[in-house]
Amino acid sequence: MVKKLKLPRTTAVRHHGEYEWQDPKSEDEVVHITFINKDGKHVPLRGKVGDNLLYLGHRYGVEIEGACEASLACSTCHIYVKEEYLDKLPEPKEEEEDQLDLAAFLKDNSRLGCQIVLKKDLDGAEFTLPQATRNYYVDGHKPKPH
Amino acid sequence: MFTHVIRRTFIPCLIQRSLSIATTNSTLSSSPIRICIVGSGPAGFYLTQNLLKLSQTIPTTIDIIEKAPVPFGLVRYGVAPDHPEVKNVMHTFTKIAEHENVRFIGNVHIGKTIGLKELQDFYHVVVLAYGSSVERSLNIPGEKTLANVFSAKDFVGWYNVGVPENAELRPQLDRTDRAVIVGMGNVALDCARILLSSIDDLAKTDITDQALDILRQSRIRHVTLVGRRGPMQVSFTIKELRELTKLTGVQSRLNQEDFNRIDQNMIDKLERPRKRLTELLLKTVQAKHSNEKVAERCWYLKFWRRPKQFNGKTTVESIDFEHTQPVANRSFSEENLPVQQNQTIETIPCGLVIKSIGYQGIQIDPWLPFDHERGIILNRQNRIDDRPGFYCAGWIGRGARGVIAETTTESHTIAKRIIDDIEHGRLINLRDIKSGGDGLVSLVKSRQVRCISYEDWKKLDAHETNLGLSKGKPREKILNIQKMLELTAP
Repeated sequence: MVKKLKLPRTTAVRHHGEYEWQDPKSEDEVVHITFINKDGKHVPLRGKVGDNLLYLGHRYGVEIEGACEASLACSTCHIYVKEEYLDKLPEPKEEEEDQLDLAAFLKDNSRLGCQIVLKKDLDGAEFTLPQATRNYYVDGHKPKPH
Repeated sequence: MFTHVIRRTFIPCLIQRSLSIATTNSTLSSSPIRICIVGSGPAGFYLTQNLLKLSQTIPTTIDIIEKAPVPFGLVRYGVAPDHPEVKNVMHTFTKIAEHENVRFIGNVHIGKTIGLKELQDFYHVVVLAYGSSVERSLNIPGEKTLANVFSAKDFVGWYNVGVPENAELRPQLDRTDRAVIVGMGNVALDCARILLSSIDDLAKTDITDQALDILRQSRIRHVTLVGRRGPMQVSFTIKELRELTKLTGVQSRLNQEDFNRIDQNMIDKLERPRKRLTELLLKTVQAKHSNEKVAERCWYLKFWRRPKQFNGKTTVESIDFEHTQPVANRSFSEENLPVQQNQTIETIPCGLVIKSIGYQGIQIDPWLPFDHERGIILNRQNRIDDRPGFYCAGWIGRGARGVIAETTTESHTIAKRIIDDIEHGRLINLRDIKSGGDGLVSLVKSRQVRCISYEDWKKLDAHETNLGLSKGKPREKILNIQKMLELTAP
């Protein structure tokens, strides 16, 4: 009676995420990447040039959220990029930086998944989801006054 | 009392359930675990999503109960109309609500129509995710008596349709050119932006027509945000500040003197978010000097002032502020800097006041352990004190702070805790057969209240979207509850 929850793929009608569901047409296009899930599990994927990392993750059931649907209005697709691949990505836009400021457990290699588009030189890249196990509202935490 | 709704007791199933839990903790039973979540905002929906993911091997149903006839909580009536991207999350929520094991039950007020304790008759697990619904009070003279003094909650509710009474707020914006907003958080900046934005821009959003008509008459040209602490303690975030600095026809008038004490050494020591925010404030201060042309509208930040009283005959005319300063030996740049008043009083004239000093939660039922001072449910790691099987999620458990990303992260953790408690047999009632939503809905019916299903809501949703379409807006919200109920009628 309980079926597997299909990750919401709400964006097809909005011209987002459709492309990521197409298989690579040739090996030339293929970009191998790996997601490292919240529980540390490695998920190797066969993406292609032009894929948006967020929607590619959704296609393969990776637990990466994307509340605002890649419109740079949230930081729910926050990921860490394996250091040696960081420089291969274009510099983040101001809007992305502003959203990263609000991401939990921000690091120097933090990026928003929705702003990463695969290209050949990202072959072998690893993207780690922030761990969600740390309880940062420990007992007795007092919210800061306004 | 409710035997008629829960008599679907099914002995073989009960035995199987007991065996499976007692022996292997595996949950192969065909009688599902009934979970209900009170509140259909981001905390409720994201928790549902995570529970669905983690409970794939456990037969589970999840009901999302909502006080209003419509779902989505603050995403519908909190997020600013000119932030439509944030509302994209409704698409994800819709997918969750339409999952076969999820049921949305709207128009049911827990603590009023149904007692909190009564939920135990239908559910094994109850999660309270009903958010923080009241504005903190200043408790100073004139706050409750003078016209044109509003809480940000009511003001946001007015342009966004919160509770129906807010639609009748009718702020007078045509008799004054000066507004003061008390508070320096994102809600304060939202209110400032609504007051300062051009009507043409607002008309393309889902702001209500009623609010638009009043804003069209607005003479407000000066909006001042006042905070009791300094520029390094503001609680708004950089995106909202940047937006305000970029509004067409609006000039940012920040005072150089307020920022003189900030030096590079101080900035270098800050965490990244505060650092970038401070740098943008400094940049904004400087920008003013290179652009002296007369602006149509302006906004200001005034620091180190605490409101003392509101003055006026019937409508507010000014506010008395007492100046503050950091308590001795505390650093200007400290995040949680405490301040003290220094008895200097300054009167700031204004014809409109919005108090935006933070939200807090309310105790929806006397049976609920509650911290009245902090406005949150008493809980340890989201497990409500002394109420096994009851949990809390989102703002009602941790206080009204933070953006949607925090809620998604937190909901993952809470879902794990709940599933963990189920799998490790920490909940003693799991052997009982519960009727879930069927039982709840018939009890609600017997109390002459109509439940709204997700299908019902979709009719209203289509109606609102169509109304909006004809006006070039994404949606025209229905204000009146009676009308909502008519439009959702089966």
